[in-house]
Formats: sequence, C-alpha cells, structure tokens
Amino acid sequence: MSAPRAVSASGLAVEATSRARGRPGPLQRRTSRAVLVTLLPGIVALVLFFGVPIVELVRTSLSSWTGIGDEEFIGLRNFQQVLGDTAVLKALLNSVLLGTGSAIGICVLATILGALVSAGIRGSRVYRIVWFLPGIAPPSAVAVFWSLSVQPHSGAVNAVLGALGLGDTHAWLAQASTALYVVIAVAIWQGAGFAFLVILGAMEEVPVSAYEAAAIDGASPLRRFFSITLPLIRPVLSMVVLLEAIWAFNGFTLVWGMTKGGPGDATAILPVQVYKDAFQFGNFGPAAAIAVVGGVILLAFGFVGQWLGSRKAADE
Amino acid sequence: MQSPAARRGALRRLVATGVAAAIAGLSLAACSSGSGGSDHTLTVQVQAAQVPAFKNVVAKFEAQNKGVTVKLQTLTDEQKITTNGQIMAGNNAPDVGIVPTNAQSYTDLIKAKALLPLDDVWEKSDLESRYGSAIADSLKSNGTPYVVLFDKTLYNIIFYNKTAFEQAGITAPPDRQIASNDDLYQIVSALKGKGYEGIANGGNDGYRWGWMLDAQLYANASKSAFDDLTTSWQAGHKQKVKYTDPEFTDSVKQIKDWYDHGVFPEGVLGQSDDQAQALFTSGKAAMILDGAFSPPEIDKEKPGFEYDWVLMPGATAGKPTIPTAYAGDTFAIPKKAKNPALAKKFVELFVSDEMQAEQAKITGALPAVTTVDPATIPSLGEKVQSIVAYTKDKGSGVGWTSVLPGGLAQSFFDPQMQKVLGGQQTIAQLAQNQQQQFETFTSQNAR
Repeated sequence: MSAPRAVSASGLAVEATSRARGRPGPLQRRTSRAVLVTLLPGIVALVLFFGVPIVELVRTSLSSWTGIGDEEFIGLRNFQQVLGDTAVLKALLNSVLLGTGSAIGICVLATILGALVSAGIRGSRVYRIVWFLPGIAPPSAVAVFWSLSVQPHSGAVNAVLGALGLGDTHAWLAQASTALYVVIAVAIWQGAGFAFLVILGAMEEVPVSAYEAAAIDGASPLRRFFSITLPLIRPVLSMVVLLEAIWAFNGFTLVWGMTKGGPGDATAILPVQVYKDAFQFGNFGPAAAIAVVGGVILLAFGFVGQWLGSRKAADE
Repeated sequence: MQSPAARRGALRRLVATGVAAAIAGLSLAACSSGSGGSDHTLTVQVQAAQVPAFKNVVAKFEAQNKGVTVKLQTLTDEQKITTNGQIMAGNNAPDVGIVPTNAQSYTDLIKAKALLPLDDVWEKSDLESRYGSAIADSLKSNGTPYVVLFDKTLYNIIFYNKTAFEQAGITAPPDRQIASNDDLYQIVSALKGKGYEGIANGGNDGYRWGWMLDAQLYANASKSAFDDLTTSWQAGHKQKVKYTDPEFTDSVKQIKDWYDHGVFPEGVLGQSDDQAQALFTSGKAAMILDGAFSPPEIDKEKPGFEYDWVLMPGATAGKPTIPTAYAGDTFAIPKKAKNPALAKKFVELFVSDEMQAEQAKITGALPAVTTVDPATIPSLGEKVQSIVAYTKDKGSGVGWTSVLPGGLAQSFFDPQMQKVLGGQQTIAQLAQNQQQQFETFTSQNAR
C-alpha cells in the first residue's frame, strides 16, 4: 500500500507547486473532473426536467398558440390580457384564499394534534396512524367522497346535521358564497395528517430537560407549550406552512374533483383557469402566462417564507 | 491495484461503453417505435362505454386483415374534449382518433391542418347519402369531410318516475309534451308535496345547462334567428342575431325561471351527472334530464320503479321542445397516423350497415347512418325505440352547443349560466359576455 501513498504524496507536492504558480494541480484537476462527472447526471436531469419546461413555458407565454400547430410570437400581450382579466384575478384571489386558509388551518390543527400526542394522551399510538390516514388517500377519491358527503338530503354531513335538528338541506357546494370554504375545509382535513407527523417529530426533538426546568419553575402546560414548544419548533412550523400553502395554491385535483371551479367561477383557482384556458378554449398562450404569474408569486412567497423562518430561527 | 492512469483509462472506457450503450439503446427504441408499431398494429381510440362494440369491430377487422393487430386506446369523456387534441397532433398520434365536432380541439386540428381529408372514405362508404344532407353538411369543414360520424344520440329527454307521478296524482301528458311552464310548476309542486325533488340535473358538470338551452333555442327562436345563431361563427357569415337579442336571452330566462321556481333539486349547482342519476334511481328526485343513451345506465341501477319520458315546455305555451339530436361523435385520422390506409379501412368497416347495427345492439347508441333503421334493433329497448319513433313523427332539434365549437358554446356557456343561477351575474351580463366571446372567437378562429 506504500506505492499509492507515495504517488499521492508526490501529487500533492506537484499540486502545491502548481497552486503556487496559480494553476490547478493534477489532483485538483482530477478532483474537479470527478466532481463534474458526479454532478453531471443531476445537472442533466435538472436541465431536462426543470430548465427546458420552464423555458418552454415562458416561450409559450409570449406566444399565440392553440396547442396544435405553429406558435406566433406576440411579446407580452398575453400578460397584459391575463392581468386585466377579471376571471384570472378572481382565480388568483381564490388561490390565495385556498393557499393561506388551508395552510393556516392545517398547521393549527396539526400543532394541536401533535401537542396532544406528544403529551401522551390516551391512545396516542393509534392517533398517530388514524390522523395520518387522510393524508395517504388519493386527492381525487377525497374530492368525490366529500362532494357526496356535503350534498343536501343525501350527504352524510347533512344527515348528521339533520339528526341534530340543524337541517339537512345545506347546499354549500352550490352556493358561490360557501363553496370555497368547503374546499378549504376538505384541504385541511386531507393535509393535517402529513403536517401532524412532521410537527410531532419536531416536538419530540425538544429536550425534555427544558420542560422539566419549566415545570420546576411552576410553568403550566399551556405556558410550556407557548413558551417552549412553539418557539423551538418554529423553523419546522414555518416550513410546513410554506409547503402546505404552495400545495394548496396548486391544488387542482381537489378543486376540479369537487366543483370544477364552480358554481360559475366561485372556486376557480389559477391551475383550474390554466386548464380551462389551455384545454377547453385552446388558448395556450394566456394559460402559460397565468402559470408564469402563479409561479412567480409562489417563488416570491417561498423566498419570503424561508427568510422569515430562518430569521426567527436565528433570533433564537 | 491499478495506477491512477489505468483507473482513468478504465473510467474513460466505462464512460465510452456507457455512451455507446445509451446511443444503441436510443437507436433501438427509435427503430422500434418507428417500425414495430407501424406495419401490423393499428391504434384506435375508444371511449370506455363503447369498448364492447369496438371489440366486436376489431375482431372482424383482424379477421379480414391477417397479421394486423388493433390496439384500443381508451379515452375518458373529459380527455376527448380537452387534451386529446394534442395527442391527435403529436408524433405518437393514434391511427384512428375520436374528435367530437363540438370540441374546441376539432376547430384547432382543422386550423392546423393536422387531419387527413376523408373524401375517399366518404365516397367509398356513400356517407353523403347515408348520413342525409343536413348531417353530412354539418360534418364538413369548408366542404371537405375530415371526420366520419360513428353514432348518434338524442338528448333533452326528461325521464320520470311513474310511481312518483301516480302518488302525486299527476297524469303525464299524452303527447309527452309538458305544454307550459305553469304545467311544469304544478307537476313539481305536486311531487314536492309527496316528498320528491324535481328534475335532477348534473349542474356542475359543465354541459347540462347548455343542453337545456339547446332545446329552448330550437323551440323559442325563429328559424332564421336559430340558423344565424348556429352558423354566424363560421367564416364568410355575418352575424345578424346578437347574443344580447331576445332571440337568445329569452331562452336563458326560461332556464332561470325554472331554477327560481324550484324545478331542480336543492344544490343542483353543486351536483355532478352521477349524483343526479343517483338522486333519480334512488327515488329521491322524480325526474332527470338525460338522453336516449340513458335507459341502459338507469336500468343497471335497478331503480325499483317504472319510468317513462316527457319533454320540457318551451317559452311560449303550446310550443314545446322536441328531442335534440347530437351527431358529433366522430372518427378522424391524424396526418401523423402511422397506418392511414389501414385506418381508413377500419373506419369504413365501422360505418358499414352490419357493424352499425351491431354497435347499436351492443351499446344502445343510435346508428349514424340512415340505412340502418333503429326500429329493426329490438335490443335498443322499448324506451329508446319510443324516443326514436317520436322523432320520426315530430322531428328532432339541432343543438346550439352541439354544432358550435366548445370554446364558443358549451365550455363557455355553462359556467356563465351557473353564475346567473347562483346570483353572481344577470342575464344581461351573460348575454354581453357571450357576445364578447363570440367576437373574440371569430376574430381569432374563423375569419
């Protein structure tokens, strides 16, 4: 085993000399090449599956195209059109409401559930599984299940309300004023399981000694939750809020499965608008422009969210 | 133990071998997709409900063309009117595709010259006379047929629960036509008195309000106005009747009046077709808006009551609606089809009298050609036969959403109507939006 070591030592010596001259040595070159070879598949995959589609999307957003045949470059006209379109603005507002409403709802519910299980309530082992189950159900099945459940007369929710004397004719999905809230509620129901597991994991990482010290100082369980648990899990919590908001913002399946964006455009979110523009109306240019606008908004939201999360973590 | 130089050499050889293998693999893949699928395999699109009928034609076709295998590619209702346009124009296009003539993709495929003209198929199968001139004309684009109609149907039929009618003391109109809105409201009121909902309708599925409008426009608008509404979008036509005119808005108002009078079940705007059918077959709703294709589906649910059918009233008392004909389920052969000659043979076989009768027997859909009389196909069932017999006597209507491109009619109108019914906009606003959509559409597509 001495020969390679000798070669290696000699290589280092040459490398030191080369570096002194400002040129990379053989070892450094070899290392750079090895790093490049190792990174190459990842870079190629990124370019193919991420870079090319984004470039294509932006190109389409600057074109007039039916989805078939040739594209015609029209500059920023699609952006002017979609930003002045009340249907798109309504879809944007709905997306923001769905994104923020479900992210906040999911995190509040998941944090409460996580705190209960972390505190060791009776049956907590079962709850770990039960509360996660909605998270593994396919979104399309969830959409069908809940849209049936909230139907007047025949739906399970209305049947329960009817049995309680609260009436069984509530047609929430049929009313523009309530349909989006039903979708948000279902998104919370489905998303809480995943968030619960992540937040629970973060809670279980909090040192027991911190709770013990607080208990000795006479802090109540509620005080310990707000003064110890929440601050220490805040980075995880902010990441979960961010992810849930992004997923809900792009949550096409649930909305399409439950309402198809209706009644009218009451629950149309940006991805629904993209789908309709592209595939129902053959307007791929405006559809791509909407997708770009949505992407930019999410990117900005992601940066701000990450910055806020990391800033708070640093404060601690 | 290898030296670094030897290791570098080995690495280079490994990379070179990998690249060569990848190139060889890609070449083989290219060859296989280019040839393996071309000579002996014909790809034909089919909707799930029609698979049994298609399999029957496939068996016959394969027997007639030894060595040829037909691969069926299943489409959903949603796909056929949305994403299938891109598939038809893509490099992996099927040999025979399904293109509804009222889908936006049909207009876009014609505009992009992505379909083969099928004059030879029409001539060989004598489709001009076998379809009848009205349907034949509606299937052509600037005089050229790019599609072949493979079945027909009738819609805007109201099926009703006979037991519910009896319980509510309602006698169904002998001529099947509910004469006026007042009569309709009395029927619904009597049914509600017995605990039944009115007319179940998939109000959020994106085409049912358009269906209703089809029957209303045909019944309410003057012939010249109706003709204008159904042709003014085409190149070379000048719009005479605007969508803001009463000829159009009166029919919209009719549907709104029904909604306001509780003709439809609670929550209809949040219900899908399946939910509407469940309401009817479970006996909760006493009526359902459907078509000649529905009895097999209703019977499959074993509803536990007898049912029959009636027609909705028009806006003017004594001028009721008639069933609306849909003749838009068509085959098309993409320009990028790998086996266009075989594809044409398959289409010709499908529209032969023998196969048309067979597919009607199997699926319950009506034959596309007039040379096959549905009355000679008992398996269509008593209700379908009675609907067909009725249209032979009284005629059938043309559907506005059936003949206009989806981006202008069906896909656009239904959400607009939902907004009217849900109180999000007025009929006047709907009319303005529809007119604006017409102007945008015609400036982009037809002229």
